[in-house]
Amino acid sequence: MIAATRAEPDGRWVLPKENAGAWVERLLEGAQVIAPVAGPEGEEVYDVVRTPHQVLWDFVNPLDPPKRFVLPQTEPLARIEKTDGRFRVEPIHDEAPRVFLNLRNCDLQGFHFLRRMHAADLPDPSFLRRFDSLTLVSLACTRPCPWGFCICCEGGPFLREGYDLQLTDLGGVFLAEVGSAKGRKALEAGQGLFRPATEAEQVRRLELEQQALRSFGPETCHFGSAMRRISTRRVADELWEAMGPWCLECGGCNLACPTCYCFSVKDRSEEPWRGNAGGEGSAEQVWTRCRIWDSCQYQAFTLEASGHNPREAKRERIKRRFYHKVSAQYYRKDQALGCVGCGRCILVCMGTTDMPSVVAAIRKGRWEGGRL
Amino acid sequence: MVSERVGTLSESRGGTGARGVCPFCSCGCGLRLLHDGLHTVGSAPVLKHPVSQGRLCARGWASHEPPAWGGRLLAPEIREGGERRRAGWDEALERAARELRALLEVGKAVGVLVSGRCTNEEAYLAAKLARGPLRTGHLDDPLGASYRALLAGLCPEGPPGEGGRALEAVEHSRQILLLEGDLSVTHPRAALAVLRAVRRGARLVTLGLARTPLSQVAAVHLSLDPLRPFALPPDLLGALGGGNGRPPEAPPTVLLAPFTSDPRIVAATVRALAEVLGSSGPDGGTGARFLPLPFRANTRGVLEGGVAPDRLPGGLALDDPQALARLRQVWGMDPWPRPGLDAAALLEQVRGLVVVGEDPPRSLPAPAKAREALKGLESLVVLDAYASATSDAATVVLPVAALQETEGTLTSLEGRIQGFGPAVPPPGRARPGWEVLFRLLELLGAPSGRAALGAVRAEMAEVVPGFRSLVGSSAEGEDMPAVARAGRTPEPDLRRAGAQGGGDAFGSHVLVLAGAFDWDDDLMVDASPTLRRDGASRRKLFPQGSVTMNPADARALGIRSGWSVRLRSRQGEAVVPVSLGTSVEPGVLLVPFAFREALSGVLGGEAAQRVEVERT
Repeated sequence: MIAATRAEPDGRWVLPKENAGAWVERLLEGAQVIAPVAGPEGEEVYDVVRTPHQVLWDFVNPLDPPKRFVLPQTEPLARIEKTDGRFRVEPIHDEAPRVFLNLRNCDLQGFHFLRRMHAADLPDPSFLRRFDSLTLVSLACTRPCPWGFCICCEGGPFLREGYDLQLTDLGGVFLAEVGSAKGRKALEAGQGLFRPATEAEQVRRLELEQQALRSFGPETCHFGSAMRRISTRRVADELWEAMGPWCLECGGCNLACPTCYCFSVKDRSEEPWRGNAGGEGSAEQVWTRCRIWDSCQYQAFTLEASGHNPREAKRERIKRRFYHKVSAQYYRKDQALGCVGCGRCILVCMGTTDMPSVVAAIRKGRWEGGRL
Repeated sequence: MVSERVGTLSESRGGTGARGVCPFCSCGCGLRLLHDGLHTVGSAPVLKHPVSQGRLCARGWASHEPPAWGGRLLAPEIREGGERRRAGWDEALERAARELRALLEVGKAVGVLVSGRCTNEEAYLAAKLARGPLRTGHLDDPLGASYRALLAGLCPEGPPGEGGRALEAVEHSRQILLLEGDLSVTHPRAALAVLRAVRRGARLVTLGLARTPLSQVAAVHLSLDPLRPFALPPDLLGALGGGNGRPPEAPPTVLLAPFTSDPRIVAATVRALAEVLGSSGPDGGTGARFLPLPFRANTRGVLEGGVAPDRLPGGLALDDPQALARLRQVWGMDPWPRPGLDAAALLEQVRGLVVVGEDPPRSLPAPAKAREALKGLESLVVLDAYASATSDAATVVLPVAALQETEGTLTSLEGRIQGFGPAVPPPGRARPGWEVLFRLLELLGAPSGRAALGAVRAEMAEVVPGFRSLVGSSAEGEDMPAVARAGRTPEPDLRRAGAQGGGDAFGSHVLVLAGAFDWDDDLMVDASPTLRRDGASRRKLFPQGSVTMNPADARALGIRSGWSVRLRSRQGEAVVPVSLGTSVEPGVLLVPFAFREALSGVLGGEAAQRVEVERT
C-alpha cells in the first residue's frame, strides 16, 4: 500500500472495499460523518453515522433530500434574550467539521447551487460557515436511479468537478478522484488504506461512466426546448390554468428539491422547561430565531402586509415556480438550471405537476394531466 | 458557545428520526419526525409507507411544528377562588376526581368530550371513564356527529374498509362519485387517489355546494340545492351512465365527506345516495362502494374506541347483551348502558366535563354558545397538550404529551391501525395522555390493571375488534369493521331543516355555511407557523368575517371584491365584506366555516338560510 499523503490533487486512488470501514472509522475521528443508512422503515435515509457498518455503499438515492444537512428545515439563526427590558441577540453558527459520504452527484450539484445562492448579493454567513465546514465525498451512479434524469441537466451521473472526492464502485474497489484540498485531506485520513489506481482501473471507470450514460430509463426532461418557449413567451396562460387542479399545493416539489431554498423566519419561544432558557443569565424571556423551509406553492408565501397577494391563484404560483426553474433569465443569473434531475419531485408530488410532466407540457403547449 | 446550548445540527442528528403518522387528517400518511433532542425540527416523507408512498401534503410536511411552536400546557394547574395556580400531579388528579365525584353524588350530570386527535388508547380509556366510574352516556367527539352522519345512510356493514386498502381501490375505480366540501384541502391523499383514477381514465362525478379543484377535472359536476341537498339532482344516475331506472354501468366508488355543518342534512343526503345507488353490502344493490372520510387523524378510531353517545367500545350497540357482558368482565364493573347527548347538546346540560385534547369552540358549529357553556361549568377537567379557550376555562388542567411526544396508535379512514413512537419527550411536567386517564380511572374507583400501554392495548383487544390482531389475541368475533354492528342511525328529523325549502319566496340569495370543519380553525394548525398563515391572513383581512359570492351576482349588485353587503334573513342581519369566486354558484353566498360566528345571527343555527342582499 502507498500512503495517501503522496496523492496529487488530481490523482486517482483506489480503496479496496475491505478497507472502507477502516477509512470511515478514521473519518469519524476528526469529523461528523453523514452518509446513507437504513432508516426505520427499511428505506435509505441520510443520517449521522455512529459506526462504519451503518454506511450504505450500494443504495437508491434517499427520497428525503440531503440538503437538510446544509439548510435544515428548522435552523436556529440567533438567540434572543430579554432581561430587565433589554434585548440581547447572539448569532448561532454551526461550523462543526463534517464529511458527507456517498452523496449522489445530483445532490452535490444541488449543494453548489445552494452555495451560489447564499453567497450572492448579501452573503449568508450562517449557511456559508456550515457549508464550508463540509467535505463532500460523492459516489457516482454506475446505475442510474429509475426516476432520475440528471443526464438532462448536468447533474450527473459522473462529474468532472465540484466534488472534494468522487468515488466510483469498480466492483471489489472504489476508485477515488480527488477534486480539492479538502478531498485530499479526506484521502490522507485513510493513509495506508488507499493505493494508486492502475491504468486498467481508470479505463474501467470511464467504461462505467459510458455504460451509465447509456442506461438511463425513459425519464427525460427536455429543458432546452421548454426554456426557448418560456423565453420567447410562447407558453399560454391557459396551460397553467389547466394544471391548477392537478396540484394539491403540498409544497413537496420545493421542500424535497435540492435547489430550492425559500424560507420564512420566525421566533420560537424557548420556555425554561425546554432546557434552552434560563441558565446563567436568567433572562426573563428567550427566543430562538429560526429559518424554516417554505414553499412558493403555498398561498400565503407571497402575501404582503397590505393584504395584497401578487400570486393568489394557484396557476400563478405554478407558473412562477417553473419560470424560475427553467427560464433563460434565471439560467443566466443562477449559472445553472434550477433542477439537478434527481427526480424527487416525481416521487413526492401529491398531484401530478412534477418537473418532467410540466416541462413536457410546456414543450407540447398542452396539459394532459401529468404523470399517472 | 450559544449554539451548543440551543442545539446544533451536530446534536440534532442523533438518530434517523421517529416513526410518525401524520396527526392532521384521517388519510393515515406515514412520516419520519426529526428532532434535536428537545424539539421536533423536521418532517420527512417515507417512500415505503403503504399509504403515503413518499408523499406528504403541506400539513404533513409541517407536522413537526405544532409541538415545538405551539402554546403548550406545561404543568398541572387547579383553580382556586377564581385564580389558577400550579399544582403537583397528585394534587391535581385528586382534585379532578373529587370535583367529578362531588357532582355525581348530588346527581348532577357529567360528560366527556374526546378529540379525533387523541390516540386509540386515550380514546378507549376516556370512553371507559365515562361509561365506567362516571356512569354517563354523555360522551362524544365534537366532530363525531359529522362522521356518524356519513355512516348513517349506509347498509349495516358500515365502511367497507377494503382490508385497509380503500384508497388503492379508489385509484383503480372506473367510476367515482365524490360528495365533498373540498377534498383537496380536507383529505389530500384521498384527492390524489381520485386524480390518479381520473388519469387512468375513470369517470369522476362531483357533487357539492361549490365548485372545487376536483370538480374542475370531473366529467360532470352536479350542484346540490343548498336548502335541500338531500333532494339529489335528478340527473345523478344519468351522469353516472345510468338513468331511466337503469343502474350505472360501472358501479361507482362513492367518497363521502361532510359538506355541511348539519349532521342531519349530511345523513339524509348520504341515505338518499345509498338508496339511489345501493351498496356493496349483503343487500346487493348496484355494487356501489362507499368510503366515508372522517376529518381528523383518529376520528374513526375514537368512535371505534367507544366515544359516542350511543355506542359501546368496539362500536357496539348499547343494547347488545354480549357486548355488555364482555365489558363487565373486562372492566370489572357494569358499563353504563344508556345513551347520552351528543357534543353540542351535552355542553348545555352537564355541570361537570372532562375534555380530552379538544377545544369545543373551535370545532362545534356554535363557538359562542360553546364558550359560554364552558364558563358555566362547575367542574371542567382538561387534558391537553396545547393551551386553548377550553384550558383557560378549566378548573383543573392536566398537561399531556402531544402526538409527536407519545406512543400510541391511530386508525385511518381506511381502518389501518398504525403505531408510532415519541420523537421527543413531552415538555415540562406533561405526561402521556393514556397515563393520566389511567390514573384518573383509578382515583374514581375503577378496578385497575397494570399501568402499562401494553396492558391497555391487551384490554382493548378484548372489546375492540380491530385491536385483536395488534396484540396477537385470538378472541372470538367478527372481523367486520367495528362500526358495522351499531345498526342504522335513527332517521334524522329534517322538519326544521327542510322547512326552509320549496315554496318559501323570501330572499334573493341563499347563505350557506361551508363544510363541517375548517383546518384554519384547528388548534394544531394554529400552532404551526407555516400552516397558520392562510387562516391568520384571512382573519386579518376580514376581522368581521366574509362571504364568497359569484362575480355575476356582484356585477348585478354593482359591488366589487372587498365591498360590504347587508345580509338579512328572518333570523337576523349582518354587514359583511364579500370576496368573489367562481367556485360559488350564482344565487349562493358561501360562509367559510372559520367565519361561522360572524354570520351566526343570520344563519340562526341552520346550515343554510334564504337572505336578502343589499349593497351598503
